Amino acid sequence: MLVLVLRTLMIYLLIVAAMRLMGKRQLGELQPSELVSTILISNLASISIESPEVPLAASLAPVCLIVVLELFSSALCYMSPTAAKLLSGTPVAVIRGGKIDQKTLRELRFSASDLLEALRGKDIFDPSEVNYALVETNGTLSVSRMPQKDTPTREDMQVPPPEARTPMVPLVIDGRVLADNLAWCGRNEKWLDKVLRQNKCSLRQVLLLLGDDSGQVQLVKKESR
Amino acid sequence: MKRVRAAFGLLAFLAVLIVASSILVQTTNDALLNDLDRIGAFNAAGDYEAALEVIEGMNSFFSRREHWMALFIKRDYLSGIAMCLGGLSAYVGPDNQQDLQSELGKARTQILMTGHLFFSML
Repeated sequence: MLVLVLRTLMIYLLIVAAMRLMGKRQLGELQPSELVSTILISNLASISIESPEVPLAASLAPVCLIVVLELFSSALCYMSPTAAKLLSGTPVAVIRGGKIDQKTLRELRFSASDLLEALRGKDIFDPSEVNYALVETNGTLSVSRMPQKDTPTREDMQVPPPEARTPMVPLVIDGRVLADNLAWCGRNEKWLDKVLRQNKCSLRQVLLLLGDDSGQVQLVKKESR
Repeated sequence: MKRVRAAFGLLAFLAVLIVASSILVQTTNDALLNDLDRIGAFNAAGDYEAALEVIEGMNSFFSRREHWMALFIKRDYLSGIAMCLGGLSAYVGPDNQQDLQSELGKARTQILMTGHLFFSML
């Protein structure tokens, strides 16, 4: 039993390290090669956990090899557009100027209801509102609305931009200071102490402190238990 | 590009693992097969004491190597070899000469099969 626990622990750490090494892309929308490697890695990991008679190297070596292949293929895709096209395919336009490209939809085996569902995910209920829609290589739909249906910007409305150039970012979470965010807002620990004094609370009492570079802050104190 | 460097590092680790495991399995199998041949020769010549000595040495050699081999080969196959080798000493003697030759054959097949499973592609 102890061996099983240790083997599971080792495989867990190995897979976490492998996924970490393969990068964040692996955790979101997957490209075909990434999906293949993720499926293979999960299967290989389970073999070694389920079957104690199988040597650990039987999982370790193939997992390492898949990670290597994945890293090399992503590097190759980065360096060569042809390789990227071969391994991941290319984005395909399914709507142009409000008109659905039915031939492309058929080629993608994408039904009209699939398309409508994807559009609804973008808060669009009428395909004629779409100027240009692409099915990306990872299967997601990217949409550009018709100019007359698009949300106007501050620039369009000639509304002056807000004073702050940074968004409201967390400066303290659960009593822990996020130094990078503090520096990004052009603030320091002294300023933070001052804000805390003004709000009559200590750092340990802070659940969340948000702020931007204009000096605007939003403080949420921890509730007393 | 840090990740590509890590990939090269992993590739080097895999290469070392492949070479080390191949050398380990090959040398162990060769040594065991060589010992089995020697035991067979001693048995045929009636030198049972020498045969027993070689069997003892072979068993202790295999028990030392078994732990390392278990990193690369399924434990079932290794315990199969260990059982074959462990039982050989019981057949050493003038009354069991034929039986020992047969057991040596079985052990040889077991070792060759393990080697085949480790090295063959198909």
